Amino acid sequence: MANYSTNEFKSGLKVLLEGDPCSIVENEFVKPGKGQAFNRVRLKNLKTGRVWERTFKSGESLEGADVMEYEMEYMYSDGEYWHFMKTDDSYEQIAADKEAVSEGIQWLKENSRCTVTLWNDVPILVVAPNFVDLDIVETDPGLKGDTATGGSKPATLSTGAVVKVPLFINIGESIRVDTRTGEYQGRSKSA
Amino acid sequence: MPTWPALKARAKVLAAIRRFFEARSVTEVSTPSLSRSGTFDAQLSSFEVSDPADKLFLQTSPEYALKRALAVYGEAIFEITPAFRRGDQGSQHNPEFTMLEWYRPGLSLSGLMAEVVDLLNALPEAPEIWRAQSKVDLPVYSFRAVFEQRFGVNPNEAALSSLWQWVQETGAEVTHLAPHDDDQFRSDCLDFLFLEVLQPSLGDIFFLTEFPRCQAALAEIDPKTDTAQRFELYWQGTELANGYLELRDPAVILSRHTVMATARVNRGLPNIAFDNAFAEASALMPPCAGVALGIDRLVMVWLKAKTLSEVQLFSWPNH
Repeated sequence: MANYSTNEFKSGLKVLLEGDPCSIVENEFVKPGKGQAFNRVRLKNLKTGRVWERTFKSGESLEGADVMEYEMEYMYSDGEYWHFMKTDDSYEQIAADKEAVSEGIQWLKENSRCTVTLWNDVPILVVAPNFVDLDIVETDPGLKGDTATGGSKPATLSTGAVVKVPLFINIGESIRVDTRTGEYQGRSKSA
Repeated sequence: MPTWPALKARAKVLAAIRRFFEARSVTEVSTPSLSRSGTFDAQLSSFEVSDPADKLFLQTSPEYALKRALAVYGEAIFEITPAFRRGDQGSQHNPEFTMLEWYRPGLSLSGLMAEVVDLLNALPEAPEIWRAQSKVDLPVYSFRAVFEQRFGVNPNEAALSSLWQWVQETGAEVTHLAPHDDDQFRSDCLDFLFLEVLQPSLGDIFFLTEFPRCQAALAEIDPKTDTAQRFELYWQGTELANGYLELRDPAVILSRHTVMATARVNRGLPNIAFDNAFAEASALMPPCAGVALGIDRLVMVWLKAKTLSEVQLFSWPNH
C-alpha cells in the first residue's frame, strides 16, 4: 500500500498505526506562531472501535491499510465461525472469527443485515445497524399498569443479549434497541 | 477556489490597506523574495532554490530585508509580499501566502497594537463580529499572567518536566514533541498548553502580550516583567498578526541565533548560517515596532470563510 503523509490525511483514509488498521476521522494542521507544527488527528481503531486524539509531527507518514466495508447478511454460526454473505448479488460468503464479531454479533439474528469490515480480505469488525428489533425470550413477569415508576429489569433477547427494560415488558414482546448504547428504545412498531 | 465576489473583496481589502498607509505616510517598498540567507528560527523551514552559483532561500517573511532597509533610511515602511514556509499546509496554512509587514520608527508596542486596530477599522464591509468587538477596546491578555493563573508558575521558570507532564494531561496522545533539555522544548510545550488549555477561554478576538523569554524571537525583553515585548492578534483561534518591539543589539541577536542553532542540532535540522548583514543592520535601525499580518487569513476571517482556499487562488495542493 501507498504511504500517506500528514498533509494527505483526510477523513475516511485508512492507515496502519502500530500494526492496527485505523480510519482517520478528522485531521487538522496546527502551527502555533513560532512553534513546532503538528497535525491533530482523531482516529478510529477499526479492530477495537476506539476513537482517540493523537498528535503527529507534520510531514510524518503512515502506511495505508487495505480496508473495505461491505453490507452483508448474517447467515449462521457453526460454533467457531460466523458466516456472512455479501448483499451485492455476488452471493460471496465470508467467515468471521470470535474476535471480529465481538460486540456486534449479540444484536444480529439470522438473515439480518450488518456492516462487515475486511482488512486484507479478512473480517475484523462486524457492526449491527444502529437500531434493531428483537424478541424477548426471558424476563421476570410484567407488572401490569406499571408505566410510571420508571423501574427496570433485565431481559434476555433472542440473540442472547441482555438489556434493561421497563417493568411492564413481557416475554414474547419485540423491542427496539440502540446497539451503540445497548439501551431499550421502546416496543417495536411493527410487532 | 474563491468565488468572484471573494476575489473582489480581497482586492478591496488590499486597496484599503494601501490607502490607510498612504494617509499615515508609511511608504510601500519591495524587497527580494529570493535571498542568500534563510531564517534561523528552528520551527520555520525555508524552501531552498538551487542555483549553480549560489544557494538561495525563498523568504519566510520580509523581516530581514525590511530591517536592512530601515537601517539605511530610518523611515516608516510597509510591504505586501509573498512569503514561503515549507511544510505549513492545512486549512489555515498554505506554503505560499501573502504577508503584510510594516515598521514604525518611534512607536511603542501598544502604539502599534492600536494601529493594527485602526487598520482593521479602515477595511470595508467589516463582519458583524468585528463591528461588535470594535465598540469596546480589544481585550489584551498577558501570556505570563494567563499562564500563571492556570498553572501557578511563571512560564520562564516552570520545570521542563512539569510542562511535559501538563502537555500529556491535555487529553491527546502527544507524539509530535519529544523531550529536549533546551529552550525550544520549553517554547513548544508552552505553545501546546496555550493552544489546548488557555486560548479556548480567552474569547473570540484578543491581543496576547508579555510572552515568555524563550519565545522572544527578535523582540526586546522587558526587564521589569521578564517577558518578551511581543503581541499576537487572535481571531477565533487563528493567529492573524505578530508584532515586536524590535531587538537592535547584534550581540543579543547572535546569542539567540546560537540558542536556535543548538535547538536545530538537537532536532537534526539543517544548520542556518548567521546573517551578518541583517544583524549589523539591526544596530543601525531606529528604535521601532514592527508587525506582520497574514493577508489571506485576514480576508478569510473578514469574509467569514472557513479555509484559506476560499480566498486564495490555487492554494496547495492545486498550485
